[in-house]
Amino acid sequence: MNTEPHDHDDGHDDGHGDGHDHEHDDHAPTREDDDIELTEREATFLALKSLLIEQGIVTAEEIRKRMEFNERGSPHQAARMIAKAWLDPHYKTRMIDDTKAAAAELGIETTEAELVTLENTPDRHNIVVCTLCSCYPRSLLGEPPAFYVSKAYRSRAVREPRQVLKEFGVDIPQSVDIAVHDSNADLRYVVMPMRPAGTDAMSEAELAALISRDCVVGCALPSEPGGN
Amino acid sequence: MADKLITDIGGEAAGDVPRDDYNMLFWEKQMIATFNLLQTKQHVVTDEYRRIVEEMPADYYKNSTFYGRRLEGIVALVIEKAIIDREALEERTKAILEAGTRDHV
Repeated sequence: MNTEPHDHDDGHDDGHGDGHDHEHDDHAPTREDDDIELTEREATFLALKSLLIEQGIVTAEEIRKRMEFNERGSPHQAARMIAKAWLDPHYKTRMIDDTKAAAAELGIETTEAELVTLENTPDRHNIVVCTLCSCYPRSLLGEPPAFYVSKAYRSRAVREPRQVLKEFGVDIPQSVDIAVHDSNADLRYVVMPMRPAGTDAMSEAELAALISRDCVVGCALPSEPGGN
Repeated sequence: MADKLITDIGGEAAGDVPRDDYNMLFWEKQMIATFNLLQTKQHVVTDEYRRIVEEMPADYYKNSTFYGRRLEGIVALVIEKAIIDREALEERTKAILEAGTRDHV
């Protein structure tokens, strides 16, 4: 775990502008859009970035480092935590009590002001939405899925969650309550799915592999053992 | 009761939820990183960004994309806060588009 300072939205600043800026560093090495024509929108951003750099507001190196940090966010981080919780009841209790601290135990630094674990049970399935914008625990999970930020999901998840889940291929029986959690800038969620049956002999890594990105917002269930 | 905010769409009727994933473009990743830096350096705060999005014209908001809206919001904020000069930004954008290349910035 590093020791960089936090912010209170979805990331943090390394604070180490070292005066050794290579403005061209950020062109290398993976420009997945090099074969895409420059759009007015991209040009606007490039203009904004160059002006911010010229004015000393940010440096190219800071942007590069921040991109590197942002790339660390991945659903696999939450999957590791959940798999550990499935195997270790004490860790599970700690994760539910203080999700940020439980993440830190695994070397995962989270920058969300507050992060809450929602445990699915036989009686209750949890799903997460941000109706007003796109609040999502990015430092833990990375950028949100496209559906999560879509206006259709934001609109419908709170009105007809069972139907939305059905359209996602997740049939929640009527006997199970669905709790919808609306995120905000200061409070973000991770769903802890129920451990699938038939996984008693599985290792932590094998269990983690059953947990997808959509599981941790409640829009999918863990894979069955032996499935893909 | 006051009109709802344009962003307050929870509970409204809507069509199918799109399931295709979106692969962020390189500049969009740079933009998010730049936005994060503006926040951590306290040039902008999250609530300001939210307010600027809420003030967007309803038609624009309705048809906007997530990353498009993020760009428009950042640009509007840095201009409003006099961090960046609007004319300088427009001139630089025009020059980049005319050059048609990413390589000089």
